[in-house]
Formats: sequence, C-alpha cells, structure tokens
Amino acid sequence: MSDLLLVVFDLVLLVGLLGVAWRCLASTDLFRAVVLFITFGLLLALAWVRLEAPDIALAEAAIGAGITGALLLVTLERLRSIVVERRRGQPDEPPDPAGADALLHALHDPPPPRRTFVPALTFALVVGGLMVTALWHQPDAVGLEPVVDEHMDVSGVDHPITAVLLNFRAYDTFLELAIVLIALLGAWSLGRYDRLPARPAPGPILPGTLRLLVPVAIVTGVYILWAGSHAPGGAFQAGAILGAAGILLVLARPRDLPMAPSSPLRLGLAAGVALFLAIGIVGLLIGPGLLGYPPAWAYPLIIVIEVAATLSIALTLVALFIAGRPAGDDR
Amino acid sequence: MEWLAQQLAPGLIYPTAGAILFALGLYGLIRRHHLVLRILALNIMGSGVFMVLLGIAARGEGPPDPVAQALTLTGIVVAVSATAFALALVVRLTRITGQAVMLPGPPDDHAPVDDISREEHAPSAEYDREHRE
Repeated sequence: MSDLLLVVFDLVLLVGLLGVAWRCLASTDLFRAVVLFITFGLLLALAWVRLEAPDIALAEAAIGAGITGALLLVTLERLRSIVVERRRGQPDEPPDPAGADALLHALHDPPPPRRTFVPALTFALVVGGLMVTALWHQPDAVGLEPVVDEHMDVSGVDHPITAVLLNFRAYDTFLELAIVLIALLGAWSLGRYDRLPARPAPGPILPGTLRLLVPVAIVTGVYILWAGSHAPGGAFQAGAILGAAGILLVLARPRDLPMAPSSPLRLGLAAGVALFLAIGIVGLLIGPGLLGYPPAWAYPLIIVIEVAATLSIALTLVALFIAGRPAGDDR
Repeated sequence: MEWLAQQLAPGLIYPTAGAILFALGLYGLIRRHHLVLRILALNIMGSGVFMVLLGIAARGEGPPDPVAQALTLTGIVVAVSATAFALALVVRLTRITGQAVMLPGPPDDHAPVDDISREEHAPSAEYDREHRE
C-alpha cells in the first residue's frame, strides 16, 4: 500500500514539475516566468529528497531556487530601469533605434513565430526520445557506492558526499571553485558597480526583520558547514545561506551600500581557490599527490578548505548579485 | 499492482522525467527569443540532467551512489555561477542595444558603444565623492 502511495506521489510530483517547467517556458510575461522558475526549483528540491539526496535538496533550495531567483528578479528590475532610462534620456533626439515597443520587449517576449514550431518540436522529440530509450536500456550497475564505502576510513570525514567532494574527487571541487571565481571576474569585467534599481523599503519592517534574520542565518550557515563532516551539509550549502543573508543586507540599503575595502574583498573572494591549490601543491610535494592529503591530516585540512570555500562562495554570490566591480576601484 | 509499482520505480521514472525536462528545455531554448527566457530554458535542461544523474544513482538496493550526488552538487553551483554571468551579459547587451534579444548581426559597427555605456552608466559624481575615501 505504501509503495503504491509513493508511486502516486512520484507521478504527481513529476507531472507538476513538467507542468511548471512548461508554463515557465511558455509565458510571455517574464516576471511570471521567473516566479514559475523559482517554484520549479522548490519542487525540484522535493524530488531530490525523494531520490535520497538530502545534500542536493539543501543546495537546490538555497542555490537553485533562492539565489538564482534573486539574481533573476534583480536582472528584470535592471532591464526595466535601463529601458525606462533610455526612453526618458533624449526627448528631442530621434526615437531610439529599438523602437517604441522597447519597453515591451524588455520584460515581455511575444509568442514565438509559427515557422520555428515544427523544427523545434522535431529536434526536441528526437533528442528526448533517444535519451529515454538509452536510459531504459541501460543495465543496472552498482555504481561507485561500494568503492567509496570501502575507503571512508582514510577520507577523514564520516559523510560520503563530503568525502567525495573534498577528498576523492577534490579536483572537481577545486575546479568548481575556480569556475565560480571566473564567473565573478567575467561579471566584473563588464563594468563597474551600478546602483541597484531597488528603492529602499520604507518603514521599520525590513531592518527589524533583518536584525532578527541575519544572526539566525549566520548560525545556521556555520552549523551546516560544521555538520558537513558527518551529515548532509557542507561548504556549498553554508556558502549559499550566508550569501543569501548578504543579499538581504544589500537589499536593505540599496542606495548607500557600504563597499568593502578592495584588497580584503579580493582576498576573501580568492581564498577558497588559493587555499585549496596551496594545500594541493603541498600534498604533491610531501607525498600523497596533487590535491591529496595524508590520512592523519585529512580532517583538519578538509575543515580549513571548507571554511575558506564557504567564505569565498558567500562573498562571490553577493558580489554576483551586486554585479560590477566596486566603484572607484581602479584608481 | 505489484507489477505496476515495479515498473514505476523511482530509478526508472525519474530519469525518464529528467530526459523529458531536458527535451522541454531544448524546445524552449530554440523557440523563445528573450535571452532571460533562454537562460531559464538552459537551467531547466540542466535540472533535467541532474534528475537523470540522481535517478540513476538511486537505482538498485542499498544507499545511492555518492559520486553522482557530489557531481550534481558541483553542477548546481557551476550552474548558478554561469547563470549569474549570463544575466550580467544580458544586462550589458540591453544597455547597448536597448533589447534583450539576440540581434541578427552586430548592432551598428559605427556606434561608439563603449562611450555610451561609460557616460550614461558610470556611477554618479556624488556616489564617487561619497566613496572616495
């Protein structure tokens, strides 16, 4: 009976996910699409719990739905303010080359032209059909679970996912931190910090809530970071929670952001990658190989790397939200 | 009933739904024009890939494969960084061309693109003064 209930739950969840994704991609109003996308992320977190992946569910709820949602919403506000500014800018000059419906285009997407319907549908059906066929005929394999299980005693931690992320496949995690840093450098290369389009919210509610929320977020973040060594949690989830707290702080005073001094900020942003690489090279010199640790030292080293990675990820997420180098930075 | 529950095991229907999500995202990516919608479509394709990975990892008895889960975790963080960078590019493009869609060619080779963006969008003079020290 409970099996049947679970099957019903799976089917309802998956149909809901596909429906939300479809509505999101079919909507002409961008705000609506973004809200549906955030809903999609939250439903996805539920699916990850069902697939026995609580770590991923935590990350999806915090990063996939939360941070991505905030980034998308602030982008929509930026697009709106750009178009409004362009229209107001030159009243005497000939109209903008983009035309009078530029505002419409900035936040709406007209229904797609009919001529792309058949090719797009055919292509998607072929690719999807090939994937489904391949997945159905894939033989059951045990995967790498036994191998990981066998080596847990040398990993330095008790949680298999943290062991894979920071020890067995440290390469992936190191390169991932590098990608996060490169994405930020890319965003910074596009220009300097631009005033956020948000207006400060009037009244005492936002500052009061923040005073209560931010300490809770910091404690939760640090706890999740510490819990990562023996239970679901770890640097990414903790970084996302701390980053979300930072984004809330930014939103509370969008007009007069206290800019962090440049060199400590840069140091913090690069700390994760730099420390990871330094420890990795020391590992190469003293024996266990690049990005390898001596088993006796594994636990403290993993904790040090995770603390630095958390700091870097949180700072990077806030910096990506603000987008643009700190003002007056290039003097 | 037993047979049906076996056919609809999570290890089978979740990867299938992941493949459908991927195809759906691909369809949206081709058909929609607004770049933010295209970024959403790419993210939905990515979620489909994650669902395939995690669905396969959950197959069989015993605990799920931690390597696939760790890869997915890495993927989620990479996806959010790439999305943030892509959104920054969209904002920049809109600032230059006034539209958040891909234009068929370069907007106008003779337009002083760099100058426009610097003059109009550099932080204001008061802002600079406030933050000088």
